[in-house]
Amino acid sequence: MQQVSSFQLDVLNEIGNIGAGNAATALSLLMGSPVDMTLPWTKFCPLEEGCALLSRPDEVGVGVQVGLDGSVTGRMLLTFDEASALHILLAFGDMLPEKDLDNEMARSALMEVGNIVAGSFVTALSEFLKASAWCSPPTLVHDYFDAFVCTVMVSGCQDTDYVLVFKTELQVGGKVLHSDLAFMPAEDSFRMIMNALGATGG
Amino acid sequence: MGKKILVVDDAAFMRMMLSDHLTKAGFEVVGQAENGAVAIIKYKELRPDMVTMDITMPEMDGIQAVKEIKKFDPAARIVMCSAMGQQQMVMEAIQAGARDFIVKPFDVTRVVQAVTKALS
Ligand SMILES: [Mg+2]
Repeated sequence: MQQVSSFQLDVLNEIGNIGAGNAATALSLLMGSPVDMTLPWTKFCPLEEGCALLSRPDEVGVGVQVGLDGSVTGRMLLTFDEASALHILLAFGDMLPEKDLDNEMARSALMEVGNIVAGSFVTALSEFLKASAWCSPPTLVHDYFDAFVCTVMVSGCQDTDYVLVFKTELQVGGKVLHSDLAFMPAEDSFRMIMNALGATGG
Repeated sequence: MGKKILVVDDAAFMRMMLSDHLTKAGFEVVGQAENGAVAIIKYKELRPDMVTMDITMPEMDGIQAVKEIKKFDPAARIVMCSAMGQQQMVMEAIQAGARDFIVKPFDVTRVVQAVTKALS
């Protein structure tokens, strides 16, 4: 398997932390109330293992996926369990008349949350790489984790074998929500990132 | 009567937020479009005083739409709505004739300031 040294993982985790900080600022502005975001851990693993990490058996969840474009390509998936997704909708307050996961405006608000989280990470990464990358329009799935996580992670990623998983904690409206952010870089982007991190590390 | 504004963004939630901010500030949102192609049609139909234009959209992106709208009406006033990491695209849009840009998520004061300035 492709090796990532603990040094490289530390740097990726640090990039993730910068992204989380930026995401928290942007989400606070979007939702009109304070939001905090931290990354308890970061893991790099083969796709199958990543699928297992994000899937929660017999649970329904919400996933927002975005594609990455520019000098870094690949895709990202942000997942929440259903209760957390509903809690986020509640935090929008009067801005969202319907706090319902089947409501178009509510789904659009959650897609924007995913867009911001993915975009913050991509910005932190591209600043580190001194490259330019951005997100393509998001899509949202609301289904059993088993039914969408692996499909989303694998589809359109034929040249991707690995995933970087950021465990995230989102503090919104007096609650701590657990969520996962998976980053599936395309093969050449993955190599570019690893080269930038230093092949040997240390 | 308030100046007529066309709000363009693929995200329904962002269109709603922006329309809300603009309406409260005394502007009249005369139309909304979810991609660049629809924006061009609505621009020709509604002839707004100003357009707020998202960059990343399906079908046709905001930069292409700016170019097309400027071709149709060189005097068109357009403010770009960009997300993080899109500085390069903002520059391209400005070169194509956009007057200014605002960054998402929106800060109400900055939105009103940019739109007011672009209209003057
Ligand atoms: Mg957009």
